Amino acid sequence: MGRGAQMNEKEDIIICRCEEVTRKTIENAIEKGGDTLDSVKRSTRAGMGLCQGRTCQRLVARILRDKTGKPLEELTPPTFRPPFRPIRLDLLAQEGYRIRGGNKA
Amino acid sequence: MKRSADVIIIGGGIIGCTAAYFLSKRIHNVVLLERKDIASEASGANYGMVWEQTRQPGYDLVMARRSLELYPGLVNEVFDIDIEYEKKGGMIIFFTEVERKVAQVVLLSRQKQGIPLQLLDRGEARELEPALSEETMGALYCPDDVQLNPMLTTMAFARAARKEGAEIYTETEVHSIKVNNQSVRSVVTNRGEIKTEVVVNAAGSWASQIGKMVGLKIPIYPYKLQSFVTEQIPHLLSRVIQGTHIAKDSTFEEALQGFSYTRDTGAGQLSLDQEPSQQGTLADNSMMYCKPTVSGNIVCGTTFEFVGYDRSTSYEGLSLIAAMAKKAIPALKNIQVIRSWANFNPWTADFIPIVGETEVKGFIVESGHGTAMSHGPASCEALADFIVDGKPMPFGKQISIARFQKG
Repeated sequence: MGRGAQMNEKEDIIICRCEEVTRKTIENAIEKGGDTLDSVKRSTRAGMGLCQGRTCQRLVARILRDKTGKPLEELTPPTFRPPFRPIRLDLLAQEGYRIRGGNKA
Repeated sequence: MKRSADVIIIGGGIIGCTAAYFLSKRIHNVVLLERKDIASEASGANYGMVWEQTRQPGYDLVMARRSLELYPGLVNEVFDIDIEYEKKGGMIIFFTEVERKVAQVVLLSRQKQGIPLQLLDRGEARELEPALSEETMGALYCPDDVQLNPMLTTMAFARAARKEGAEIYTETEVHSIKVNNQSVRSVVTNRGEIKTEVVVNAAGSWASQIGKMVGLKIPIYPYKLQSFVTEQIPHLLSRVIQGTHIAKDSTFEEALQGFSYTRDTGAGQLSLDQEPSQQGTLADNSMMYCKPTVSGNIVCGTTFEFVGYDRSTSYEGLSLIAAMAKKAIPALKNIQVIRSWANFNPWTADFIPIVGETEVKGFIVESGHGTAMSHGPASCEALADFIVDGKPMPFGKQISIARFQKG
């Protein structure tokens, strides 16, 4: 962004780096009634990026705890789905070629 | 929570939220109950295609056309969030001579129904979508087809319904429905009981479970669709691309099903006891979809599997989808896949939804739409006219549960 110095540290701090979602955006979503990790994710895209929330999820959980008073243990994480790390599509397709009868079209 | 309602809608997907909107415009005291959150199931996980070219003559096509008329007004005047509504046209690509012959048959029959379908050659298709494989032989293209973000659309309807006065309770699960004298009396939830004389079962793939609560068998079954999404790669594609049975070389019949959604409906009597069964391999039951989202990710699918409510994804299924996607769009091969999921679409034996009142007075079904993003607005507009004015629904007999014979 290159304008870090001008940013309001508390509000404009980026929580989800993949999708560039700020603390302010997440707090607004919670104020509008999104009181679960999943609803914050769905309304702000925090955790929908390349790392799938592996970096930001705990930060979002803490913001949720602070805003709603819910203890961290009650904040169920959104469903994790394969792949556990990003995988190149070509690599994933190998088995699919076999199913097509070896036709590597 | 309210103690009574004029109408209770069960299900916070596109059908339930659309019904809540159209009903609350007409009457007070509309309540919607959703056991999870708005758009938690199929309405948050589908491809958001509002296509005319694959709709069948009759209810299916009439509903899709009416919805395409309604959406622009909703987008411009009603919704307060952007649903990423784009009239980009829909494209079905093909690779073989057999498929090209089928495409010509489909072209003529669809044009007769007034659908502005075009048959593109390889050059024309790749001019519209330069990322398509050089192997693409051609494509059917309908410029009127629309794509939208299904999750945001469902949320937009929910917000619009709330503005009209509807009460929407999420994380509220229906435990039972009280019936007296074959008439609906109340709905019991984990948060209390609400009196009502009218219930709309908009539970989609779960509609049969709600039906059981009033002693009705509703022949709607879930089928599973696996999908995955890639990292962001903006501008690779402009529109949703559908393929035929790319996972294998299609026969004429298979290609015809793939292009036009025509299916053998059995011609004989529909039975309440008819259950779906999986025929053929996973490759036989898969079709390629690649959808560019506004955020730049590309969603790829899909399989069609009858496995009950098992929502796991499989290596075999995801790999097949990857192989299909790469065949259609070779540039995808170096792109990272970041997440997979499975969702359920509702299935009926004749691929027509079940809509209308049942033998239990006040118990109305509005479920089984395999293409609910296309049907929703039109179907729920008609539903509101039926509930408020008693106006018969279009194609009432064709969509009624009464078409299924008791065993």
